[in-house]
Amino acid sequence: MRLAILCMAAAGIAAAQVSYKDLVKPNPANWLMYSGTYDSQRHSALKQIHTGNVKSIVPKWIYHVPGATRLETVPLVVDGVMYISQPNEVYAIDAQSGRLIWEYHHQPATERGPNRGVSVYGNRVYLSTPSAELVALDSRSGNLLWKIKLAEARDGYWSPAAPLALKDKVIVGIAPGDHGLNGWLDAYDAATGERLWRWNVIPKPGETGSDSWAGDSWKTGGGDTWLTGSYDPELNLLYWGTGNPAPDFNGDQRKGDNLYTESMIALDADTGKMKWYFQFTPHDVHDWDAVEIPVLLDAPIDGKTRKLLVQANRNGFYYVLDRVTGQFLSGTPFVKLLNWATGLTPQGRPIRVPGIVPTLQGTKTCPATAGATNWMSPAYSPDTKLFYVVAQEGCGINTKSTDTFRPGGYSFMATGYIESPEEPWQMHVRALEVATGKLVWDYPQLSAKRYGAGLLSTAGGLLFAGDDQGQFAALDARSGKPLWHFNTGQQISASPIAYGFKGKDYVAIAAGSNVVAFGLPE
Amino acid sequence: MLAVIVVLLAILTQSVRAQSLPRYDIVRATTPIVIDGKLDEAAWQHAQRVGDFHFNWWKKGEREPTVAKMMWDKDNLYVGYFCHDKHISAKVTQRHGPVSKDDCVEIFLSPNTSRPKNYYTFEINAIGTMLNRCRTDWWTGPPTWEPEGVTHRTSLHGLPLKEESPQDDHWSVELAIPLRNFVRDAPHTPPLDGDEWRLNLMRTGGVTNAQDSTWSPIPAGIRSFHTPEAFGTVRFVNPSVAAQPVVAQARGRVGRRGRPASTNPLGRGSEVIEGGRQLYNGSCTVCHGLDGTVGDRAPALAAARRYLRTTDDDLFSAIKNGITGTLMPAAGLPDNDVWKVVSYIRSLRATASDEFVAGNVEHGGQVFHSSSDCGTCHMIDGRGGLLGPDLSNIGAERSSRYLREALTTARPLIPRGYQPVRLTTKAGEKIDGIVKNEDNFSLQVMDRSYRLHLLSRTEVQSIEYPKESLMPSHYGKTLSPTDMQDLLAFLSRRVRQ
Repeated sequence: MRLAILCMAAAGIAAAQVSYKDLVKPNPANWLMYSGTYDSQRHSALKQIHTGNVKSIVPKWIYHVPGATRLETVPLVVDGVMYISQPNEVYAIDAQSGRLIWEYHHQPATERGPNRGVSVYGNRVYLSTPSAELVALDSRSGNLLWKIKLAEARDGYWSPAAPLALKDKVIVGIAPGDHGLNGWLDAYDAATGERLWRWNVIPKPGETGSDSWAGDSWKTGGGDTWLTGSYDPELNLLYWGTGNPAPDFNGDQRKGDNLYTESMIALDADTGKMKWYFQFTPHDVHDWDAVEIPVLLDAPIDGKTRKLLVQANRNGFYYVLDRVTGQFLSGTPFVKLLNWATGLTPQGRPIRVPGIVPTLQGTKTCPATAGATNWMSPAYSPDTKLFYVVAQEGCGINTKSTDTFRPGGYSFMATGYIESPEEPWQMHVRALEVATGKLVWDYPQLSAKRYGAGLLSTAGGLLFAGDDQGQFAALDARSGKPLWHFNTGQQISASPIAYGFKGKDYVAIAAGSNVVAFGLPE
Repeated sequence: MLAVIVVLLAILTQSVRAQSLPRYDIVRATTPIVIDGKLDEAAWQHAQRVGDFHFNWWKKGEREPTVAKMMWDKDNLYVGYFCHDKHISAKVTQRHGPVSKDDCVEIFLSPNTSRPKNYYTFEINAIGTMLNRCRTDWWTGPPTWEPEGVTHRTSLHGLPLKEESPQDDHWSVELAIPLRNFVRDAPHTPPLDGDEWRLNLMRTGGVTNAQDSTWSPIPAGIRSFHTPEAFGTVRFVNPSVAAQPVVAQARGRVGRRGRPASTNPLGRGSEVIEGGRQLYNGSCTVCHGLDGTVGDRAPALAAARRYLRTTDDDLFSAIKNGITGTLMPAAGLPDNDVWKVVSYIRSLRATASDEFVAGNVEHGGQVFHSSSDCGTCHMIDGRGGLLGPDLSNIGAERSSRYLREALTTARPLIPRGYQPVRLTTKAGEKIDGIVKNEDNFSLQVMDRSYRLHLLSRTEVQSIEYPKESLMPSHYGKTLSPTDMQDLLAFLSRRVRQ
């Protein structure tokens, strides 16, 4: 296998087809999907760059994305070709030199962002757009092969997340629930764009779960799918987190648990039928979407290895679920500022603190609506057995109003929050014991604003993390000690990747308006 | 009197509530609109009709339908009417005359939903006479009103008199109302995406079968168009995905965005262009060259370079008045002839989709994909090869003249991204393909099997750049004239929707 890779590298052949087999067991030199692998561990097996030499890595090239401001793209790399995106646009670049091969500009170029990445399958690159379309491009030339409408853009729908490709299908989610638009998860034929199935987040009257919505409130219930989920090829199950119910901050008209908002959903990938669900925050009034990346891993629980799904949730708890059955195993706070619940019941339901709900005057709520974490990706290292998460310590003053739904893509939040003036906003990179959620180490990031970058774990014993000050750092994955850093000069809001080409390993990240790749000196 | 008004208002409010008022989404114009009364632009095809007109006071006679559509851009609201009419008559030629006694269309519009009684009227009869009023609480001027910059044409425009005739079948109106006229009342000028206004569209019927009809129904008991309470609601929206002109192309952003709408009253019909060509070749060729191709003393107007004057109005002014400080004289032609020359000059640079390229389109597609070898290198809508540019939108990007030349004449320069290359790597591999990109230290090559080779210069043993493009130029000889014409007709219609 190693030899085969070397031969291909010597021949300089690039941009081969990506098969389902490749996606299930990727060549470590490639980064083939948003979270690296179907289990979303964001762990690279590349180890040329390691704890011993990382201090000498240097920037190899910078690609400036024209017109970009704050990229959230996770680049993909297929045999030396890197695909990066921003809303309406895809750039294919030579991952060795940072030189452009082709670019695609979508029309209509609806101004709406962000775009978090593309997916690849066969000879195609898939982009979902602010105009709520799914676009298939030829991965070698950027030629537009087809485009299909996902939803009515004029109603306010759009699609920011990277699609997920598997078994001749492309899985696509939708936004935004904050406008009272009900979400779904779709599967499309990878070759033709034909829709194969749709799973609706909000059940219609008569369907299971519909009694969790009072009256007609289900019609504008929100619950969208604006980040990319995970997949277990053996179980053939897709795992996807769902967004908040609408209106976000006022639950008076939508009494009930509001299924399946803020839940983890397991769907049969062939049929789109739900296998199980677990709702993290029933009847939420804090806009705590549960779309955070579900990480799939196998680990011992009470001495027995189990197939797990773990998620650090925006509501402040780190959850461990059985991914075969959806059974709740444990839940532990991973932030210190958490005032809305005293804990979780044995079934995983929050034990709420009375009165921590938005009011006209405002109620201090911790974590803030920005969440104990958010879209920034976590990582898991099978070497250290640690789960790594970007934690946000902070509180908000949450207020409530009455609001009526207006069709056409208007905000339907019934007011919102401000950051609490009493607690400083503080970002952390934290390592948790995967089975218990126990804090192992804590790396505070000096930061001014919220929302930092995601994480990347490598077999070189490293954890790469960026921050809102523009610093891109390599930490020792076992201790959290910083070993290397580089000032990219712009706020980082994306997650890093690792890839290799022609025998050399690289780490890359979108920083502000640029993508920067790092490697060992020549 | 007061009591009567109160009662009337009560009836009005009740009946307006009882009927639901119509709504309509006004989409952005996706192509420039030429106000020529023809409604033949692609954008009009995309726009939805407002819906059937109501015959509020009908007693007897044929209810002849009206097809009305609206569009907008940052400058104008566009209104188009197509009136089925077997008895067309109009005689009012005096500006602000009583045009509603003729066959006439009207639009009353209120740019602010919170002040619906502030409304503006535009009434145009079949021969193009217009009457305007500004019915607002702030207007202190005369009973009539002079809106700024309104352009309109009817299909019978300028006739001194239109009498009914057995040939009568229909007439049409095209109207562009600059949005700046409503700055005093509209919340935003131009409107923001999603802004709502209220308005009604109406029609009167002339002499024989003089039916009145309206888009938004007038409540029973009211006999006036001046009923803002009954105006329908329109919403300014960006167009649906399907109705957008698409300029999506790997490498290169050739587009037609932002081309200003023209006020050329003659439009771009083939007779107009032919008339313009004759005038042009009669007096302009001395400096600008025959057919605008070679200019000795002045720009070759058909050359592939930018004009300084790009709008129809700019060209009109240059021809009519000359250009001070240059050799360009005033033409001394009547206005209509000047407009013909403008249309001709514009046609020299129109993209193929804006020209009428005759030919069998279907057969042209067969020539492209089968009998000729175009599809080996070029892709259209996902079908074809990758070495040449994707041609799915070529009709909107190039003129038919350019396309013909590309097929028949070798080009002196090969565009970036398509330079042929033959190289041997130090590992001994031979690569034959095109350079997608390169610099002093690296190059990115697509070989003839569409595989990408990403190389550092240090990996390259030898390299040569053949001077001939991969694009053959022999089609003038190898294709029959019919095949060539059909191929051009096919290519001219490749516009991505």
